[in-house]
Amino acid sequence: MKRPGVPAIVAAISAGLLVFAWSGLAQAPRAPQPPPGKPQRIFSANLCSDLLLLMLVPKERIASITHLAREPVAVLMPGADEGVRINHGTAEELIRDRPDLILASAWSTPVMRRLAAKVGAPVAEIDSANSFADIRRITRQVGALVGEPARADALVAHMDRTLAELERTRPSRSIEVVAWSSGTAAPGAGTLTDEIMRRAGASNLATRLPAAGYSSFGLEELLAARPAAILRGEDRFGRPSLRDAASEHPVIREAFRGRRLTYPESLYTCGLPQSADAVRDLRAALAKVPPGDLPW
Amino acid sequence: MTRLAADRVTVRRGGKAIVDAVSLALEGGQFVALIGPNGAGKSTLLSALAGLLAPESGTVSLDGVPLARIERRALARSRAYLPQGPRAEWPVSVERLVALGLTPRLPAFGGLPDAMRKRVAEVLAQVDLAAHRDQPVTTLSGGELARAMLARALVGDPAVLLADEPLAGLDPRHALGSVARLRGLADQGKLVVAAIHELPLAARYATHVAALHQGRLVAFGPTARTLTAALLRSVFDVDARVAAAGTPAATVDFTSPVAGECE
Amino acid sequence: MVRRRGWLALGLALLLAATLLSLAIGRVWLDPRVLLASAFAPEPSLAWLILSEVRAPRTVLALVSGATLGLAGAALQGLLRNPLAEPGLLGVSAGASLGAVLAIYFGFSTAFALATPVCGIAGAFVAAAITLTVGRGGTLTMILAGAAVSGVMGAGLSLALNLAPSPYAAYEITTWLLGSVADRDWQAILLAAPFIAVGWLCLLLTARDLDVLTLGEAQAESLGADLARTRLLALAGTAMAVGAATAVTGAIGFIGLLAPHLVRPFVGHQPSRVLLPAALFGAILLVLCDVASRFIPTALELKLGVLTSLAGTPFFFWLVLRLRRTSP
Repeated sequence: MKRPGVPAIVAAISAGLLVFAWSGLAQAPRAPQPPPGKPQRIFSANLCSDLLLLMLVPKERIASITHLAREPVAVLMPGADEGVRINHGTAEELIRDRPDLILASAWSTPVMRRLAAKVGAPVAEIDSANSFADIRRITRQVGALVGEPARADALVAHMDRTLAELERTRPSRSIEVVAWSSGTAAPGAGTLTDEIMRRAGASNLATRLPAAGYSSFGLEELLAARPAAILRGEDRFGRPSLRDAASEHPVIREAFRGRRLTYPESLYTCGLPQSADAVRDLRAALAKVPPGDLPW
Repeated sequence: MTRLAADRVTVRRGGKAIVDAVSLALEGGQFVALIGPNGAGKSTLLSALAGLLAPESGTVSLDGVPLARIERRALARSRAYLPQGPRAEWPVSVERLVALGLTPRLPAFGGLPDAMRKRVAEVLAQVDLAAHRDQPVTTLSGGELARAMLARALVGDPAVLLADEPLAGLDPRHALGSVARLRGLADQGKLVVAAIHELPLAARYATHVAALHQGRLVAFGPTARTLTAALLRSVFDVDARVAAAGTPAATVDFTSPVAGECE
Repeated sequence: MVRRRGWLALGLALLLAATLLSLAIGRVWLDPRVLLASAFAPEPSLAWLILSEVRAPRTVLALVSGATLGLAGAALQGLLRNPLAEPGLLGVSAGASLGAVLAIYFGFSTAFALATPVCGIAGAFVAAAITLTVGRGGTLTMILAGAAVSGVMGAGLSLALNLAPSPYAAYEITTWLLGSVADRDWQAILLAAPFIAVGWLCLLLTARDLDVLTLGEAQAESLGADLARTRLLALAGTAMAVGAATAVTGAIGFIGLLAPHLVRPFVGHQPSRVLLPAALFGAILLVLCDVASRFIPTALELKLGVLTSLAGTPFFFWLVLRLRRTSP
């Protein structure tokens, strides 16, 4: 996966998976000292830092964000990326943008570091969040790097207020759910998705699987496990794919009628201050799931 | 009586006339030896006579009907064609191979009717292959395979048999047997046309001889009158002594090439 | 005759056993008695859902695609008199995958459900037509033409999936290159079924001409075979059956190669008699491979095409070595 030439899209989508795989290997991020003064040409090579960046600094100080950000931005903060240049994480774009700060993810660092050396900009490795604690740390880290610690603190404070409020109103009923999409791994224990589910008042079926972290369910296993609801990540708009066709297998449609929910994927895999809103939204959606056992 | 006629048949390939305005009128009871040097157009003419090759100009007709207007299966029932050096592509049994000759007579569905199985056994006995009935054809010797192919051609009892070098690769005994069998078919009233390089055998058994040279028909007529030393010299560029052509005692002895070298 | 019946009975028994195995085994263990009871009491229960909506379509799809591949392999081998001919090696499966991918990822199939099988068939037809036209003139030429067409279609597939608007498309390339019958639904199968049936019919209609082709093309034609028609039937039949099946499963290799060779000695090598038994054994082989893919414990289920390739490649090499010995 680290080979250059693997389509960036694959790399970015699998960021969540890889971060888990790397978590044992990757050391604490080596945060370089922010350059004197506020960086004025920030280059983001990572979807999660794209989104944070758009919230933390004015557009004029962003050199470019990844092409992957377009759709999540349209869902989470419509219009925020208007006029912002796009990159595909290539060397040419790095040279074109002449950044004074590069935000990369831990897994892309070896490549990014070589490229960054060429343009002379510091590279900051931004982790992906596996918990709300991570979100706090990462938001503050990026805030410090870009020279906007106060804004970062404000975002975190807002998130913590939302979380505290949600904690007070935690529903008594806990239902079992799973984030499932045919052929891909279901996020289990130790993932942000899992924490969002727990805070929303649900338990994550995938934590019952023998493997920790991400593991997979077949169609049959999903039926046999009888979750009260199935969650599906969604950050695109009706684009055809085989995966859609499979996650809409008629038996799922039939057996989990009224129990299939979609969620904004970027809030679950990236970890943003808005992930607290995701908890609130999920809790509201779960409240509408019909009570009681599955009818079959 | 079956009549097979070619009327100014011309076949060109790459601008060159392989068969050049050949007209021939053949009928049942004849065993026609088609002779000529390599490249004279014998195989092409046989394909055209069989209706497998549409001539550029001219027509071939069977009993007065142009071949192009005869339905495939009907044509297949009345004439059989044996190409040069036929090969079997799968190791089917000898019996199965011979039975393929009955394909144009088979009902649309189902296996081989009993009467046809009997007919296959009969023909296998005629060509001396009864003992090899269940043997895979790919394990037959060259001569055995040639006989099996002849049996395949004869099994459907066609009125016309067109064979391209049916004697090639046969040992003397089986060559004699095969050529005698072809003559026997002619004596039964069938028309047999065979490209033959074995001139002594042609001289003895063929009722008629047709000679091709550079795509043109240079001679056609009863063996006794047609197969002469003069013809052989003009067609093959060889000096030969021909004696008693058209009788079982015929001999053809080659003496020397005329121009000092042969092809 | 008796011996032949015996083999047929054995084949059918194997088919039944493989089918039952495929219905009984899955990633979730269900007591066969419960499954059996649910089969006779169709009401929404876990066993009934798994049986009727997961395992039954999967089994039927494996049976139908296996039979299609076996039949098409037998017809192509008979037509070309080439022991290495089969839809996968001739590039037909890759062409069908490309057609289906274009239909699915560029939204034609959402607009028009029949687009997937139809595009699969079109892709298969183009691939088969190129291979059969360019590759006439011997075993080797045909295989090289097939490899070239497979290569181009595979590249087209990767290109199409890279251009596809879906961010998951890159993952799904493997589905199409390796093939799978898992988690397909009845609707996809029913859409493909009529095309597959027509394709089978076309292929079966070549039977008699395939027999006379044992004698080579010249004698076959002299015996009344219409070879242009036979070629067209084989081409259209392969394109329809393999194209429609592949549009649901993705490319599955080697079944079309293995099945005819397995049955040929038992039917006296007669090409017409190879057709149906090859379909039968193709179905058995594919169902068994699919059952095996569920047995092997991997986190994400093994792709069916991986298993058929693992089983088929050594056989392919054996065939090539044998050909080298027998041909000059």
